[in-house]
Amino acid sequence: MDDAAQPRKDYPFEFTGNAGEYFRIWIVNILLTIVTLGIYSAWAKVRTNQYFYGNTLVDGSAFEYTADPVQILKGRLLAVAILIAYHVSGFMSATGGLIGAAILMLSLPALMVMALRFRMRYTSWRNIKFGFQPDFKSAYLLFGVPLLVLLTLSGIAFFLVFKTLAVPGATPEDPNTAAFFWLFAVPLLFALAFPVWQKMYYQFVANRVQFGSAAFGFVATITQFYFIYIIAAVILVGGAALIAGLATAFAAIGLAAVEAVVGIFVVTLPMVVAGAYFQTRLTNIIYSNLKLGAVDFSCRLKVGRMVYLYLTNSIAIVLSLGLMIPWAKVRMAKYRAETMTLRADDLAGFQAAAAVDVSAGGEEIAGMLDIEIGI
Amino acid sequence: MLHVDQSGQASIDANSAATDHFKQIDISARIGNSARYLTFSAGPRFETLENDAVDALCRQWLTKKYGLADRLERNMKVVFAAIVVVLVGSFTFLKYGIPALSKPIAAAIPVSIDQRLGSDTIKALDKRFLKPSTLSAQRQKALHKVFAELPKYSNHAYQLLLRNTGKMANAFALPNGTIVMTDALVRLADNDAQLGSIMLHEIGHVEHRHSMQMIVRQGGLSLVLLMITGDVNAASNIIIMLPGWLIQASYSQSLEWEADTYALEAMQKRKLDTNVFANIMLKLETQANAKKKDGNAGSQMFDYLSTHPPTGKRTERFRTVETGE
Repeated sequence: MDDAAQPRKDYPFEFTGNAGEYFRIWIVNILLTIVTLGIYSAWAKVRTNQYFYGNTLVDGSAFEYTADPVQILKGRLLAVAILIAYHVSGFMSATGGLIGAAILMLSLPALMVMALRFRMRYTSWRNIKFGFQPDFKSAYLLFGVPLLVLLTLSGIAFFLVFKTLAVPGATPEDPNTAAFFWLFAVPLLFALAFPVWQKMYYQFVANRVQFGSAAFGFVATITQFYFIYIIAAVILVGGAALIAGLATAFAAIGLAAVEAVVGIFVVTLPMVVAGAYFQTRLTNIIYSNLKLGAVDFSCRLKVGRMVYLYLTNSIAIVLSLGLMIPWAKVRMAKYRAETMTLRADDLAGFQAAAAVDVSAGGEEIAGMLDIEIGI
Repeated sequence: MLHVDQSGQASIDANSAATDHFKQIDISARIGNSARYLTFSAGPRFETLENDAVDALCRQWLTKKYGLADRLERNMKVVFAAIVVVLVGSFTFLKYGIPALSKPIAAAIPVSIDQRLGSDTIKALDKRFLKPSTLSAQRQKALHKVFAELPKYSNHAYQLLLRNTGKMANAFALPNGTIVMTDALVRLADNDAQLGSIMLHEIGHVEHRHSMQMIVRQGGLSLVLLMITGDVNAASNIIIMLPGWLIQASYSQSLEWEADTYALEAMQKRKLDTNVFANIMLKLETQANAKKKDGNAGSQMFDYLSTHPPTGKRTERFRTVETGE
């Protein structure tokens, strides 16, 4: 009965930016980046994010992006240095390259945590900061355990295959059932297990995001993840079969040239549709299963509309030599905001509770961790 | 409401405790017409969409001019100039700047790296794709003699490797001076002079260090594309890839052209018949076309995506020289 006393209210997101305004920000960003030989790119990134955050509103208040461009510049310089060191080591010797790749791979989970923490720390709404718990141990477990299992299983598979081939006179056409079972079973196992891992990944991220003193939570069922994979596969295979049929038909009636020219674009269509379907549904699942205390969200992107947006955006960008990129980004941001809703019984009360203790534990790990390296 | 009195003293509302001189307020940068934040030194913040009013107050009370990016963005002349500079500038840089820069940069990279890259590649190729030549020992010896007599200027450790790849008629150069020629190409040629001209073309690739130049060019290209497109979302990747392919193909074509020039000049210097190169090129093209089932449907379009310039254009140079004399 108490629930009825305070009706759950919907707060739609809205995006108030427009293409003309963002175009000017975008082109000046590129100009200044070129003139400063790339240095300005850090300021450009901050300005772009500030534009998109600042025009995304919930309950009349905009999000805020407060990162310091100098920190971003430092991160970028470090990333460039790491990549140069990696390529140089690869050039110098094969083992150097392998060691470089191994170091880079080992540091990826840490870099991911640092980047997430950076992005969240400098996002706020109504002066309440978001945050991300830098849980390095879980990040390494999340990536390390599947990697170790994968390496072990593929090791066994390759060992068995090579043992087969080592028999004098054996050729790859001589199947050793056990070895080839492994060779197919390992990738298949990983493909089947991937949605489970993906769900764990989003859980890992969402469960460590905070808004002020309130913690986010993410609860989704694994069937939701498998479902989108199955449908995406059906679209991909079905679409490819349909296109192949059409191409044969064109060729049969002597329109080989049409087939050749149109083919290159059309072949990618099932991929675009399946990709858009997958991305759309995944985004819906992620946001719709997100909880922030008593607040929850709903994301209702439509696949058809997203395919339409992707295709028209791509065509516009190609035909305009890239000048329509800002228009495309604004159009997408508008649609994404339109389909997002926040639901809360008492937003003001929640906000007041979350705002408590905002500064606590905020600044302690600045310095070293306060960096964003995108590799 | 923000109140600013005659002396510049500001407060969030008339009877608020938080007052500051306007100069002391931290004012967030103007980003289009999105909300601005005015933070008082005591902590309170004032959020407003009245960007023009805030700008007017800044002009009135702040001596330092700021918001350069915003002023540039709202100046239509600057915006139009930026469009022209960005389009013309990136085209010029991609078309002429990167190729021009790649030569000195490649020259600065130690030759020992070319050596290692080449020897690693040939080891890998020999393991997987290349089989020992099936040509007679006598034929092989003759070809090695042709190769040994060709002019080479740099101190790369040149060597000719004859390999069997079935029906594929091809020759290619590795950065360490290893030149691979397939049995199918040797059989396709009418005479050794034709094969010698192809060897010269491949030597041209090595002399100019084209492999290293291509690596440098690809690096520069991805850097520029990244700079322009910035954080375009992953779904638009194909949009970045398409111009990337076109430009890479154009780079590769210009290097092929340069290797042709090397061969042409070397042959002219030695007063050799340059027609032989044109002849073998045409033979290669005829063979390649015969393999393609549906003739030349759409092939014109793919010229731009090809790694080699159109054969007609390539052979023309080798013919005109002969008739011109």
